[in-house]
Amino acid sequence: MLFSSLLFLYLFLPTTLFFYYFANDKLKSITLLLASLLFYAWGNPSFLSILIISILINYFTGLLIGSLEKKKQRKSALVLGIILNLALLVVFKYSYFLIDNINLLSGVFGAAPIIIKKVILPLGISFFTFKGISYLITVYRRETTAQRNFIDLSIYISLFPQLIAGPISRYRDLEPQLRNRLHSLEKFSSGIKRFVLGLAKKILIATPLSYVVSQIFSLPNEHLSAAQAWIGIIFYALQIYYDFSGYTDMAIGLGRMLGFDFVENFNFPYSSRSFREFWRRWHISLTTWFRDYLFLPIAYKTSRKLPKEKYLGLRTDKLIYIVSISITFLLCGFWHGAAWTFVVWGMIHGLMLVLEHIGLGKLLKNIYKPLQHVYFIFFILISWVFFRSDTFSQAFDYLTIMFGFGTQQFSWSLLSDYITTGTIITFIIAILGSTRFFDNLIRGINGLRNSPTTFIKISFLHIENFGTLVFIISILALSTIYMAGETVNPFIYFKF
Amino acid sequence: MIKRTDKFYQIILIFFFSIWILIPFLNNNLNFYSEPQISKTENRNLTKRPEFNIQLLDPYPAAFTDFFNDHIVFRNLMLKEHSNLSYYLFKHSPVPDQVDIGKDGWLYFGNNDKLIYQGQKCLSGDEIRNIAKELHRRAVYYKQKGIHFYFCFAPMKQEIYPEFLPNNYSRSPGGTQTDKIISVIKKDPVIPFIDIKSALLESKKYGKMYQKTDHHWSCKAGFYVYSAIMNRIKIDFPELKPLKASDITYNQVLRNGGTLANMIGFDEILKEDYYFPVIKNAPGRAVKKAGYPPPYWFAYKDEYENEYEIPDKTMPSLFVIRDSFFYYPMLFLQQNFSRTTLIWDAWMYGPNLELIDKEKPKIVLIMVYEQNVGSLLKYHIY
Repeated sequence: MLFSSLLFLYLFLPTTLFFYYFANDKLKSITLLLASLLFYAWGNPSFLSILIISILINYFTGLLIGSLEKKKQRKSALVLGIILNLALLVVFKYSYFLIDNINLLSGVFGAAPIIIKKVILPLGISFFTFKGISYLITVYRRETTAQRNFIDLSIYISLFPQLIAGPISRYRDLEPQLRNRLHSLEKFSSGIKRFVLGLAKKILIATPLSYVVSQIFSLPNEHLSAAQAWIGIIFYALQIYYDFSGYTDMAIGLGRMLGFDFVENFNFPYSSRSFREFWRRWHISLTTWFRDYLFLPIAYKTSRKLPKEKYLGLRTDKLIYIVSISITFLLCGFWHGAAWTFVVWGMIHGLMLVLEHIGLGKLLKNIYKPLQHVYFIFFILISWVFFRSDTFSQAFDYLTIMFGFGTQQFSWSLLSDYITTGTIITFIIAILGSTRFFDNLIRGINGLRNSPTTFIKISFLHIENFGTLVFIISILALSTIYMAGETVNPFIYFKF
Repeated sequence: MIKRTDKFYQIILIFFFSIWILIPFLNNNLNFYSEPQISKTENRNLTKRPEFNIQLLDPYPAAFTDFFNDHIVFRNLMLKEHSNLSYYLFKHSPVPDQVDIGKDGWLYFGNNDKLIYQGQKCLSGDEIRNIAKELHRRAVYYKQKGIHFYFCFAPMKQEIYPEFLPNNYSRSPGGTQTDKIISVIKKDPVIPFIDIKSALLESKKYGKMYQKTDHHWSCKAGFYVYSAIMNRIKIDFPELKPLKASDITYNQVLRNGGTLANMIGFDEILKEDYYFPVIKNAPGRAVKKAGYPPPYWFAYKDEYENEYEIPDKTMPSLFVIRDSFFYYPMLFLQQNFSRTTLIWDAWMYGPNLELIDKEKPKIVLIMVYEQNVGSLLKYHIY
């Protein structure tokens, strides 16, 4: 089930909220767990078993780690737990990709290909697997005790607002909330606002942007001009941001409605001026997961094996960074999808981070700030080409055209298919919304709350609150219209 | 005071949001708004509530979701508004898989038409040969019965008006499946093929050959299709006296948009001129239907069979296996044959041997809308 569906908004959500708020404290957890399992099963009932297996693996491994005293034994149990978690991920997400590549390689030597059925990717498997691993590591590091309450651990792993697309809340952040959550009018209403804003970001901004993107990316190369290619990738960069951050907003909003406080996942990533800054602002929960559970352990291990000052003529600290970041971003790319294009996307980011670390960063700091921004936007767009493309050849062809080596000349008529009033309005809102423009605007207006004149203060309070109310209900209505539009299924002739 | 005011609005927001998401539930129980069980725009019955079966869980969520989506309150109103926003604000088809919005208000049928035109859907070499073999067998069979057989395609709108297609829409460079079938059957002298596509391309200079908002051709095109058919049949039946362009005048009527406009919910907005023929001295008259039983699942049972006759019984009789494209050519063809029998067999384009045995026509004509040609693979008449 998706948040941006009629069924979720008009059946699942009201039913869940009703039972949740009418249940006593003990039953609240059970309600939440049942709702989460139903939410997951709705996508494909058979896949529910995978989620339950994941919960069982982490519950029992967590107890095992918690019960062991010796670090070495705990470590062995942790490794076992991580292997079991990753085994699920490999089987369901990467098996087809791996076999495909093995077949390619073995084909060179004339070996017969291994034939397996294409496995359907269970929704959210990358997210709940990482949450499970986070829990096991937290218990292993003794940052918390193992969770004995099966329902509480099940909720942590399967909590429906976070199940499909995160944010990947860390166990130690969520653990206190599994038992005690604050429910208040303020929190609930802020949850509504956040959810509806997220829904609008997804439905009213990302979807219209995707119209343009899919049209441009489906053009044959000979019909694609450089201008169109740039428009396509700029729109895609915005689409992916609004799609993903909109989904996160919905998750955070739903969490608040249920009394949870989830970590923030985006912080105006396109206002960055470097890749280092970008990864502090983009998919923050994933970045910190990789930092704490992959990058830092690798860096620590590498540092223990290398001499203190220099190695192979390079400063050891820089070498450690290069090794750690390369491995981290190789796996980060792979985490995003089972295709080489994602790996290359990850490697581009890794490379940019390395370059910034070994000198480019310092160089950038000395140049005019808008130019730093141009540098970042330029390279991030290049990397998105790989993320959006299905194959290398598509990515390279697209890049070739972007840089003016295509055969199609620019003409305004070519843009007429998608440069419409709606697209222009959406694009402007999307650009402004990806900066702090609206944030600053709201903050500026909110200054009137502190006006010394009581009349102004009261008037403003009413205008602000009433305006917010009308705005939220309006975009909710508009989003509903779009969601309903997605369900249309016409036939050219009458169909019984 | 700030806190009190904020709290008041927080309660109001929660109240409105709760009411809003409860509207479908409230309507289910209070029934303050109801909509028809047949969606006119979508040309289908709304989905029925699926039965819950614990033994068969996997299909249930999708079936229930379809049911819920179909029955949500204010659905028709929302679909209309969605169409308005998509079409006017974004020039984007509200049903991108089904209808493509071309240039200057031209609409195109997406779906199979698009895939076939772009070469993404193509029959295999074996399938193409099997279709040609089936047509060959039919031609031989009819010949044994003393019947002349003719075959033609109704081309897709994309083939006649590619100039109004969106920019990201191009014809398969290697040719479409129809091109491949035609190249095979043209080599078979037993199958007399009538090239409708060339006739329509040639006739574009005389007027609009396809309706802008419909996937069907126009009435004027119907005449040129008729002429192409008659020119070919006249070679074998020189006694036929085809209508001339000067025999026909047209009444212009502004009507609701066609099939494609209906699919995007704009049939009442995208109105279009339609031309209806007035034929000088038209002898063709509809006669009582023979009452052949249509397939039980065919939605247009009244259209399954049509029979027309003219007083001149020296003219040959014609039996047509057709689809909706034949509506306009039929208006002209009925004027030339002693008896014209038309069968719309729910896009199966079957041999209809039993009906032909009963009707005993001199001529059998099959016209297939090119995206449906795969239906011929179902048959092997002997």
